[in-house]
Amino acid sequence: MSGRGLRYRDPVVWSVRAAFWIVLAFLGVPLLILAAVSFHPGRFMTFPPQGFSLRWYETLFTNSQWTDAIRNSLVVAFASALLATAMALILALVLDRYPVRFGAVFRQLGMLPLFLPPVIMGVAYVSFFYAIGFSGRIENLIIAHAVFNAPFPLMLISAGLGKVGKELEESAMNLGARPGVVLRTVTLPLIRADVFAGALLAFILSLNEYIVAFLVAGFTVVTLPIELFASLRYSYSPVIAAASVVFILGTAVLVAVADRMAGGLWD
Amino acid sequence: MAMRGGFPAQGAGGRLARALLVFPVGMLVVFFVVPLIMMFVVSFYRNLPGAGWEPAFTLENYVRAFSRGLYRDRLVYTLEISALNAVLCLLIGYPFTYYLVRLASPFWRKVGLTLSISTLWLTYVVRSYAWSVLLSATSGVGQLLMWLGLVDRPTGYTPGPVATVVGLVYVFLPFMILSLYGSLRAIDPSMEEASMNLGARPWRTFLHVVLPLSLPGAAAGAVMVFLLTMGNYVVPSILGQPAQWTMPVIITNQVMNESNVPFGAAMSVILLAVLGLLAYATGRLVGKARVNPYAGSRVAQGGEGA
Repeated sequence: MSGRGLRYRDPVVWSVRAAFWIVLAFLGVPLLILAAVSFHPGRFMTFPPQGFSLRWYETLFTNSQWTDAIRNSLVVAFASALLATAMALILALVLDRYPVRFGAVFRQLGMLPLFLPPVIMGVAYVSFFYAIGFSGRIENLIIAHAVFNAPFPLMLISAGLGKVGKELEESAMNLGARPGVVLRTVTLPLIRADVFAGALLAFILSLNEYIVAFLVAGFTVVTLPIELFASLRYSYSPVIAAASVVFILGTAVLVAVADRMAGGLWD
Repeated sequence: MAMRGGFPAQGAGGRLARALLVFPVGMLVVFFVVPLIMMFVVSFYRNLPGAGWEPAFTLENYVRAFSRGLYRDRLVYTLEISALNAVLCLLIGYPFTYYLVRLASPFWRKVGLTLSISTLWLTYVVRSYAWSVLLSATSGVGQLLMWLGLVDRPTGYTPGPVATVVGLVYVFLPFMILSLYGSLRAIDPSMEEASMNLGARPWRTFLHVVLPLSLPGAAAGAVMVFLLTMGNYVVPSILGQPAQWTMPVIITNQVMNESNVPFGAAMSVILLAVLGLLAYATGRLVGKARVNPYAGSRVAQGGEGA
């Protein structure tokens, strides 16, 4: 269906329509081919796959090299998402509900990591952690990811607080509820979905992040993207494709959940 | 939006709330501001090969970065390929997004937008890897061309310049689509109808009505793609040969392979300065609110959203 503005059977309209489908294919086909390759039973990736086998998925979930990476990724993503959300929740709540001197500066500081190229952030962490003699620990990576991803929950929670408004809190207080009670029984339940969506985004971002993780603790804490990157340099095994498929599906499901919770991430 | 009210500003509750701020602000200062300052300081340190660094104040890292043709060339190359990528993403993304926005059914519009930006969150590693499979001799385009009888032997295109450019477009096109979607969506279709009712052909309507109105979104998207490409490590290092390595690859190699953190820090400072300058200049050009370089997917919310 061509849209409302374009009713003419114009060659331009047709070429735009063709371009639309080509771009959609361009975006989707590489991932579909990856999925197909992951079922190839042989030891080297081939497309089209010669046969169907789940052996590479089995390798992925049994080989300790991969399971360690999966575990590291989940630990870092979970801990950093928790930390990022705690930072964002406190920052958003206090700055929104209380008059704070330099409040705008603090909020901007919280958003700033978004604007820095991750490579540069990574080099900054290398300099910092090496200088204080605390290199290559998993804690470093958790902190780095938390700070780097905190802008996402901060944005979602601030937007949520803006939507909720203050009327309900004020009514509760007029009815005699103390601030702590209002926070627990009115404010937090109202923004719960935003908090959860923010945490989920921080989790997804940490799970998918490569360069900061590599620079901060790449030689000691191998996460899934680092393991993927390293193995695709030295081998051509379909297990990499299988890992990618798991990544794609996991990310898709989590983004869909976050999208639902935040009431539409894009619109 | 400094709205008053809600909780009492004074008293124990207010004091406690403000005291809680120490945690997030402290985290940001200690683990964001201080590391950046440390990077700046380290960029003046002297590298001890094999033994870390030695505190000093030397300009030799900067002198090396600027005097060696290799590093200058890499910076120029990074600027060139980022500009190329921004232009390609704009040329490919614009007609696509325009068609998407004008889809009559809201359901299909939502599906189309979701599909086209769904790869946004996926790690660069997997996305680059998908193209290294697709452009390889054994499993992708190489075989297709042979099957079509266009070539005698399957040839691969990865790693190399073609793979790098294709990979960069693939990875950053969703950002462009997102940026364009916002600004094209804001154009009222009745403006186009009015133009056509007045007798303008679609092409003229597009040129005189749609294009000027969508220019801010297009420019913001191009700037965003440009800046993101300049900071990307994964795509050129997986899909490129050394001739396609950009500044982030050179920096990471210095830090991780050569263990020369001071030199890597100096090049990071240079890259940051160039990025800052470009972001500032284009921000003035395009209008500040719309340029949100590292926001990525967030542009829809932070910049233009509700």
